[in-house]
Amino acid sequence: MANNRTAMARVLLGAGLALAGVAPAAAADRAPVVIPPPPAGKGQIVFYRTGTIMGAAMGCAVNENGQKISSLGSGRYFILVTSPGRHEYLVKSEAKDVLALEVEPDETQYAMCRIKMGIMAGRPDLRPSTEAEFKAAHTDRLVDADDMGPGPGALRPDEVKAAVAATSAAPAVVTPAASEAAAAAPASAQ
Amino acid sequence: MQPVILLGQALAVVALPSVVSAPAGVPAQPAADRVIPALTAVALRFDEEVSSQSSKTGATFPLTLAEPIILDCKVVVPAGARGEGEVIWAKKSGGAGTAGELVLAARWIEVGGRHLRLRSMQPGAAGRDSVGKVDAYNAATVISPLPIGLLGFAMKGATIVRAKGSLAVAKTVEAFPLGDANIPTGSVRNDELCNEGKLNGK
Repeated sequence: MANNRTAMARVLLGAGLALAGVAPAAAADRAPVVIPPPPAGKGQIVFYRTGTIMGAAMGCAVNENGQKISSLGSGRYFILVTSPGRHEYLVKSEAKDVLALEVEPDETQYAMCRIKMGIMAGRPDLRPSTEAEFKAAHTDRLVDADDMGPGPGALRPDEVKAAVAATSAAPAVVTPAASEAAAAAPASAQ
Repeated sequence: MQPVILLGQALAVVALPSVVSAPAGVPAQPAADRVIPALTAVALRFDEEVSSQSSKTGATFPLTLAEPIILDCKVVVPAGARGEGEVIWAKKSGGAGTAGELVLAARWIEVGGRHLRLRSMQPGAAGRDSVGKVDAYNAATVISPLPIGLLGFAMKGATIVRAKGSLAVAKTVEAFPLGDANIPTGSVRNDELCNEGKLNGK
């Protein structure tokens, strides 16, 4: 009986690890993500979430000033266009986490949500990120328009398409190449 | 012992040209017609350690200009000019593998008694988290008779540290007329770079 339980657990664990390994490979076959530049004088933040299995069922809604800007499901991203200056964002599901960023005009910043271990349920953790980490995460699905708002600023999928099309200068193309991530890491461990 | 990430070291080689700093005692030259353009890149040095573990959100920290600002092959702001940065966000590393977070902004450097405003210092950073390791413990709990996943609560992520003396790059916010500021200037020896127009900051 105990042996059967152990064997079943190993199968489940193996299946989970296999799925976790397959996701990036599948993402690598998809079209590159194009992040258009922000409108003149505005800044933007790409909020994204990795597509790991851990905490996949948990929400990670991004809020500012008490208003929800957008939900952020596992493996999804959205682009928030906003005014330059200091902004404080809050993610919440069963728990809360805050991150403040300095938005610069005509620049794109990145922020990542992860679900970490909690007592009753996973807890969202919002942290500053980089374009290199965004590339490495292979997050290539925009949040659905239905899951955005009511807070302003999140570009709907059709707005992202229009912004990309309207960009006369070449936009930043993010290709899902895992090898670039390690090379781009600016930190060294002590 | 908690892991610590040192950032500034990676920026030891800043993508700005090496130049000759204005030597002491060089006579001041009028700079009335010179303007430092907006978005000129400037290299900065941290004058004290800033860390996600010890710094507070909203605190300021001292910076100095690490490389002179050069216009038309002339030093218009010598290295060593005083400046200031601000901690936009600092969060300590915590349990369940959460890494420390640090978002910094360069505010200004002093030029001829005025503030040359700065922006666009490197984006914020978070230490290496241990969330993946905690997840692995949780997964292992499935096949273990012991609740080893609980160890994850005690596991901390890395702290982010900008060491004293480390370098960063920022940009000037707007065009900055030097006016009649008496700024000691010096000539640039590297004529080759000068002639190629590579010494004007951008």
